[in-house]
Amino acid sequence: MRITNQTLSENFLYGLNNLQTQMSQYLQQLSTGQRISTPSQHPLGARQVLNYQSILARLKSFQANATDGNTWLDTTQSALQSASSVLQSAYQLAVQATGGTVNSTDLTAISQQVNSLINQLVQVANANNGNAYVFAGYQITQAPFTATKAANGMITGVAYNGDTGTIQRDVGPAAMLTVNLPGSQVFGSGAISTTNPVTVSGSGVFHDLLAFSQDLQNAATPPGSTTASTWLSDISNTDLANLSGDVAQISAFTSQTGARMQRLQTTQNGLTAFQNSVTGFLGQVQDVNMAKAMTQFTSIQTAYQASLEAGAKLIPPTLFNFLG
Amino acid sequence: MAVQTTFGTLQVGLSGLQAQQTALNVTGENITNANTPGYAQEQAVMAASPPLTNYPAGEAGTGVTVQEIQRITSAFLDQQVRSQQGLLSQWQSTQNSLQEVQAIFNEPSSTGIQSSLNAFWSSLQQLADNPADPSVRTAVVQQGKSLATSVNTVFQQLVSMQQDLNKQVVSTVGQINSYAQQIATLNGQIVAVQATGQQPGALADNRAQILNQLSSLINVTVRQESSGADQVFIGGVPLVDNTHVNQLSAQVAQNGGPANSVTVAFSSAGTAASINAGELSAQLQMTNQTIPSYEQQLNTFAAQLAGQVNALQFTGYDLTGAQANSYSPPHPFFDAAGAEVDQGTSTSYTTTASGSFQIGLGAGAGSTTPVGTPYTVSIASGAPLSQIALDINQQAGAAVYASVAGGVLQIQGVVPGQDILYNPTNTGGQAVLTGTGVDTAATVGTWSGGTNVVTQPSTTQSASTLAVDASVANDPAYIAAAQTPNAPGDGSNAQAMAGLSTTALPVLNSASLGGYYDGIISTLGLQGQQSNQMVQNFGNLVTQLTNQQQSVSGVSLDQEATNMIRYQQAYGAAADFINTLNTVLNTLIQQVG
Repeated sequence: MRITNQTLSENFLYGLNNLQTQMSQYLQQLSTGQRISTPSQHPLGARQVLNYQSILARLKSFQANATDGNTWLDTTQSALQSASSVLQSAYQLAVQATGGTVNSTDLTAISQQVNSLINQLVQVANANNGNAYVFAGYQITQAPFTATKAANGMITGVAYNGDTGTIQRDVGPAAMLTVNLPGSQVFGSGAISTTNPVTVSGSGVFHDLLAFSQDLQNAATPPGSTTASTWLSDISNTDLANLSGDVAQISAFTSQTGARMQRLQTTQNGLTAFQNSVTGFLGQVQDVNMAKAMTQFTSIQTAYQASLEAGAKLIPPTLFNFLG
Repeated sequence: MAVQTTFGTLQVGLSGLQAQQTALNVTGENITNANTPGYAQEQAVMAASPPLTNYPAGEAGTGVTVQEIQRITSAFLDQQVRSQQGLLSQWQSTQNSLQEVQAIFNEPSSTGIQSSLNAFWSSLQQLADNPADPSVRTAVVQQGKSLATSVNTVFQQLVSMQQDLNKQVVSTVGQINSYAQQIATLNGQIVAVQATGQQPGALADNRAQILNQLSSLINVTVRQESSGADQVFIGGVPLVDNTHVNQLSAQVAQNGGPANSVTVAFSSAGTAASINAGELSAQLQMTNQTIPSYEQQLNTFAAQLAGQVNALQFTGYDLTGAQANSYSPPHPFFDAAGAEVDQGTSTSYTTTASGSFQIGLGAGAGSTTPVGTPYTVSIASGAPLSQIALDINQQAGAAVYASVAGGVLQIQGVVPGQDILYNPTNTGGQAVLTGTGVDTAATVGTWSGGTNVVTQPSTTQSASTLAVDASVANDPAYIAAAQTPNAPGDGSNAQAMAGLSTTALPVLNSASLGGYYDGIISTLGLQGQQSNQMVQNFGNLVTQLTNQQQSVSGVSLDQEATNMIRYQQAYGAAADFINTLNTVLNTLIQQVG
């Protein structure tokens, strides 16, 4: 084949251009640390990167949901523990009232203590995790329990304003975890009718406490033809049993909440592990293997320099250089 | 008997001087044009002059003549280089355009549509956790807006790129016409020169160079006439016929939409030009097919995003306790032309008889003529709405997507720009859906003698019109985060919306919204990769062919230097010869005189 000067220089430039293109690609990889900056460099890889990024975004949401769920469960758990100690105090007072050495003044004092315990429990049941009242069902924006008081300061009723809505947190693919306990299930509600004969309506913890409180007041100042002993035996027969049942119920809710917290913790650990492995996959697809890229860059650079040197020696001389 | 004259020998020497001088002149021409594009090396073809015969000793030479100055080319190689150059230019132009499209989509990055979409789903997850928090609601609206803006921007950039390409097509066509005119003019000059028996070297070089430039713009074939004219054809139709130019013209279709298609035809006959290589081919392909296909996919994406989110929004309850659907007008989350969901009014509908009906797609917006074969959906007696939806998806899934939300059957078109047509084929079918299953408020027209054509308002503008609805944008309390009324703590509907991030949608070939978008990007990547490889391949091929062409037609300075010495020496020798003859004559004259 007849080689002309133009062939030599064109081929030299073409080869040089190719090397420069490759060098700029590796340079971009090395300077950004990313293997894929446009989809055409690695179409499948680009798709994987986008997919892994979506998965990571979802996992981050799951983590956030789990953290949020945790604040619900934490708040619920500590409220339940406080409720348990309130109920235990009430139980102690019931035992004390039926001890046989109490007079009317003592009973009034005990009933005032019970009243303050009810007040305390209303506050406990209105626990708020910063964003929401946790025992309110869906009605998280308002305090679920309100107490009505008589003129003498005694609580005559505790009403529940929430509903039975179940609040769930999405903590993983197809893993919805319930994070609330509706207050009506845990604490119930109650009201003392003011009409004669006095009755206590409602159910649950608040009903039992209100009934106990009313029995104490009745024992201190027996209404009508009744005697203190009738009311005291009411306390020992009914209220003591109810209160001990309530303590057991609260403790059942406590262990249910504990189990939920444990499940959430397990899920969170799983999420973290999954997140780590997806981040690893993403890195494998997206990140530049610096050692490899550097080696390749260097070898192309060597070729480029060799080509430049060869070009410099090859291009100028023609026969004309040696004539004359 | 002829006698050789004394001075005749001088003529022999003179012819040698003249021939070597001409050859030196050609060498000089070659050297000075060594780097001129399109220049083909020339050669002085020498031959011995016709000898004098009838000598006693035989023939006597009369010196040398330069027969012609030959331009050394290979018509075959020229055509090869031109056609491969055309393909190389086509792929280079495609490569550039695809790089621009990739820059428009800007993936993978933290600012593309994908990351906006992820942020939108995350904000909905947050809303599910804090449904009553106004700042979280505002964040959802903001992320929705930023997602909509991302989609709008990409779409608008694609449209403006298309408009730029249309302008480029017009200017490329102008350039082609100008080259064709230059070739026609050169044809005239070359034919005139050749008629006088001369070689039109420089003119032919010019024409070859223009043909090379023309062939990188459009696919041309060249036929050389014996007269010296080059006939240039595009797909068998002459572009240059001797000195006549059959001009091309580009027509941009004004159909009102942003995606105007452009066609190139011969202006005189109006016949469409068959264009399959060169920059023009790449520009036409890009503006008429490649970019519209991405626009179409973005429209589908936007329509589905809006449709799916709205379907949930309509069945949920907002912070005021009302259903988003109960307002007049209703409060959708997204606005997007073509994304409207047809809603039924019956909440507990059951078929009373088995039967069938047809569902098809209209030929265009507002058309009540079905395109292609409509889908026949058969329904069993006593089928509840959920079964009807399943039947529709199984039997007409390519045209519509049916779902039951809140006990209401919803039928959604899957192809933006095409209306849903509904036609009961028998009385059983009529009993199935007439007036109860689907929205009777939708436009009802006639379909080839049938009744109850339900048309869905739709356009191809989903991606450019995607926006968060003004009702929700102005008051984020209207986001229907709850599935129960008057439940500020219920975030289950927001949770369901966030769940759309992984829901496989039949309309999107069972991909999720994000997965469908990833598919767009990977298609773009594959096209880009192909164009990169093609540019590399055709680049190598053109280099190789150009080397071959150069090996025939190129100027080798070494060769010219050698020739120069050769001709110089021969010139010197001829001069010496004349000098010697002069001495001979001198001697003769002095001796005789």
